[in-house]
Amino acid sequence: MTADILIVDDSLTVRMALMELLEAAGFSCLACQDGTSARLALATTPFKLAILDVLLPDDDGVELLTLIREDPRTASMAVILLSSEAEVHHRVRGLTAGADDYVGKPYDSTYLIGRVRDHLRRLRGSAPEAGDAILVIDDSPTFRMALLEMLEEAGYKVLPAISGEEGLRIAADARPAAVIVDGSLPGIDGPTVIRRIRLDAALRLTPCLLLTGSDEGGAELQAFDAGADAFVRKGEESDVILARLHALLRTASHADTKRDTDSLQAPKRILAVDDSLTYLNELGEILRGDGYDVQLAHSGAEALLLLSVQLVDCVLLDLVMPGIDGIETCRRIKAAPGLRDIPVVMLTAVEDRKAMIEALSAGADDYLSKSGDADALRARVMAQIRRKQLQDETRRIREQLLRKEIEAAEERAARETAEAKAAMAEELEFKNQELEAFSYSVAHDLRAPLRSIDGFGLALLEDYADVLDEPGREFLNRIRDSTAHMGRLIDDLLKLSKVARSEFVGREVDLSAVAHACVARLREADPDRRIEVVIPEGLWVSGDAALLEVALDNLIGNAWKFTRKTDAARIELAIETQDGRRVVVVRDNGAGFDMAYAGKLFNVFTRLHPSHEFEGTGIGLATVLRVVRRHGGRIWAEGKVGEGAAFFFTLEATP
Amino acid sequence: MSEKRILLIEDDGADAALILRALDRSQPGSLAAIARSGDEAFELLAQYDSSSRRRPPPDLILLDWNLPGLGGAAVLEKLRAEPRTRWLPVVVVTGAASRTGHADAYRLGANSYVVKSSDASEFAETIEQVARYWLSVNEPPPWVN
Repeated sequence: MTADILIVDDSLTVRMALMELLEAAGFSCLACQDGTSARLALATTPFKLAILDVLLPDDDGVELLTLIREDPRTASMAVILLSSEAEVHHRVRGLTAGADDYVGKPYDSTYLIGRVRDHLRRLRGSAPEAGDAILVIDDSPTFRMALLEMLEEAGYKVLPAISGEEGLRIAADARPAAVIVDGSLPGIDGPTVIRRIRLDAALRLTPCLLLTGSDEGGAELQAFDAGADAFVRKGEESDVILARLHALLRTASHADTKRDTDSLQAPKRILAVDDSLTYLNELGEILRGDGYDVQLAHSGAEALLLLSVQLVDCVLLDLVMPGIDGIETCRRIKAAPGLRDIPVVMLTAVEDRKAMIEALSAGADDYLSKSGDADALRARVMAQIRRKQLQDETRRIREQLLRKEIEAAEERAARETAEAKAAMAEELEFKNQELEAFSYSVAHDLRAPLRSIDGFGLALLEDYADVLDEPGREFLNRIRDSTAHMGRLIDDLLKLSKVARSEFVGREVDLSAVAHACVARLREADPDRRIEVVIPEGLWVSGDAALLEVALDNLIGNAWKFTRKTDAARIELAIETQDGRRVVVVRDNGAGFDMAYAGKLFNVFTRLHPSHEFEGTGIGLATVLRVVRRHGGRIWAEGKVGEGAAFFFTLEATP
Repeated sequence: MSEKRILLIEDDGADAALILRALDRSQPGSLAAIARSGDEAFELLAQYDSSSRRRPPPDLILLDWNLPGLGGAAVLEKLRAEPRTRWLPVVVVTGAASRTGHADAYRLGANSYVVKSSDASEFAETIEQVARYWLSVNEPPPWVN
C-alpha cells in the first residue's frame, strides 16, 4: 500500500474532512483514528507527510512525532501538528520536538492545503543531510563531551572547540552546518561569537544555538540580543537540544526555497500577543476568518519563546502587559537579526500620543487603537504583510546579487592563490637548482684551493724539512690542521644541503641495524676505545633509511666523541613512549651541556665545547634537525654538565 | 721490460704539480706528458707510434673530469671510440663527487673514478695506488670491447 499523507485524528468528522480535502487536491491519504494504528501504518508505509492531532485517546501527537524523528526511515518526512490547543507552550513543545508546522483548529482549508504543498515542495528540494558537521564551542570539558556523545550518536559530525577564538577559526575553515555555543566563555563570549559569525558573509546564514546558564533569567532575550536562532538552557534534557538543532537545520536548509516560493496569495502566519484572553480570541476569530494562521500568546515572554522556534509574517502586540511589556518585546524583536524584519503592529486600548511615539521609536511598524473597527485592523495587517513581502523580495534579489559577487570574488581569490602558488613552486624549483649548483661549486671550487694549500704545505714539510727550523715546521703543521678543518666544514655543509634536497623514500627501517652499522664504523676508526654501547634488537620505525643513517651517525658520533674523557662510558639507543608518542632517544654519560644552551644546540655552527677539548664543525646537529623535520617530527635535548646528554626525536607530526 | 708511462690530462696547474710530485715520489711509472686540454691530449696521442721505440704510446691515462672546452666525459668517449686508444686504462680524477659523475664516468668506460681529496697525503697516496694498480693490470674495464 502506498499513500503520500498520513492523517491521525480521533474525530471521524475531522478525518473525513481532511481526506476529502487532500484527495480533492490530488494527494493519496491514509487515515488513522489512534496512536496504535498510526504506529503500525508508519512501520509499514513510507509517507511523505503526516498531519497529527496532538490529543489522541491512547497517545500524544508529540510522542508520535518524536518517534517519527527518531526513526531514520521516517526522520525526514514533513509533520504538521493540528491542535485546538491555543497555549503557546504546546506550540513550542510541538515545534521543538521537530514539527515542521503547527496549525490551530479550527483550520482554514486553503491555508492547510497551502502548507501541505509547501512542505512537499520543500521535501523535493534539499532534505537535511545526515553527517552534517556541528561546531560545539564550550569551555567545560564535561559538557562538551556530553554534547559530543549525544550529537555523534544522533549521526552528526562534531567539531569541538574550547574557546570562542578557536571556534571562529574552525567555523571559517570548516563551514559547519550549525553552531552550538556556550554563552559564557573566557575571552570572546558566546554572544560575541554569534555576532562575528553574523558579520561574516560566508557564515552569516549558519544557524546558531546559544547555551545559557540554567539559572539565568531572560535567556531568550540574551539569545535574541546576540542574533542566535535559538537557545537552550544548560539544565535542559538532551533531547530538547537535539530537537532544537533538528528544527534549526530544517529551517536553514529550506530558508531560501521557502522565500522563493511564497507568494502574496500564500497563507500568512500572524502572532497576536495580548494579556486579555477575550480580546485575543476576538482577534483570532477576525483574522482566521480572513484565512490567516493565527497564533496566540498571552505575554511578551511567550511571544519571544514562540519566535525562537517559528517565524511569523506579522506580530500584533499589546502595548500594556504585565512582565515584559509591548515596548520591550518590540525592542527585543527589532534587535534580533533573524526577527527584525517581521512587521510589528502595536495595539493599545487608549489613544495615547506619547505611547505611540514611544512604540514607534522602539521599532514598531504601525500603531493601532483597539477601539477601531475590524476593517481597519485587516487593512493595516494586510498593508504590513504586503510591505514585508516586498521587502523580502528586494532583500532576496539583493542577497542573490551579493552572493554572486562574493562567489566571483572568492573564485578570483582562489585563482590568484593558485597562480601565486604555481609561481612560488616555479621559483622554489629554480632556487633548488641554484642551491644544487651552489653546493657543487662550493665542493669543487673551495676544495681546489684547499687541496693546493695542503698539498704544497706537505711538499714544503717533506721536501724542505732540512731548510726549515722547528717553529717553521710547526707553522706549516698549523696551516695543514686548518685546511683539514676547513675540509671537514665543507664536507659537513654538503651533507647538510644533501639532507634537505635528497628524495624522501619512506618505509619501515630497522633502527637497531642502522645503529649497529654506525657503531661498527666508529669502532673501526677508533679501535682502542672502551665503551659500552646498548642497542636493543628490533627497534623498527618508519622513515627514510638514508636520512635516518645520517641522523644516527651524528647523534651516536657525538655521544662517542663526548664520552671520550668519561670512565665507564656508556651510549644507549632506545625507543620510549612519551604522552602516547614513540620517541627515539640517544643517551650518553659524557661531557653533557648546560641546559641554558638547549635552544641553540640545533643551529648551524653552534658549538658548546672549545675545539681543543672536543673537535667539531657545529653542523652535525643542524643536519639531524633537518632529518627529523623532513619526517615531520620534533627534536629536543636534555643534559647536565659532566653528567651526560640525551637527544630525543619523534618521526611523525604530533597533533 | 720498458718503464711504464703515464699521460696526465689536467688543466689546473696546481693539481698537475701535486699529481706530478706524487708520481715522482712513489714512481709507479714515469710521466710521458702533461696535456692541458682534451685537444692537446689527442694531438699528443696522434704522434705516438706503437712500433717506434722513441715515441711509444702511454700505458695509462689520468683524466681530469672538469676540463674546459672538450670536457672529461667527451674526452673519455672519444678515447674509447678510437681504435688506437680504446684499450688504454683511463683513471678519471675529479674535484668533487657530483650526483651523476661517477655513474657517467663508469658508463663511458673509466677504469676508476677518484675524487681529489683536500688532504694532500691522502690525495698523493690515492694517485699512487690507483696508478700502480692499473699500470700492472693494463687493460680497459671488461665492458669496453
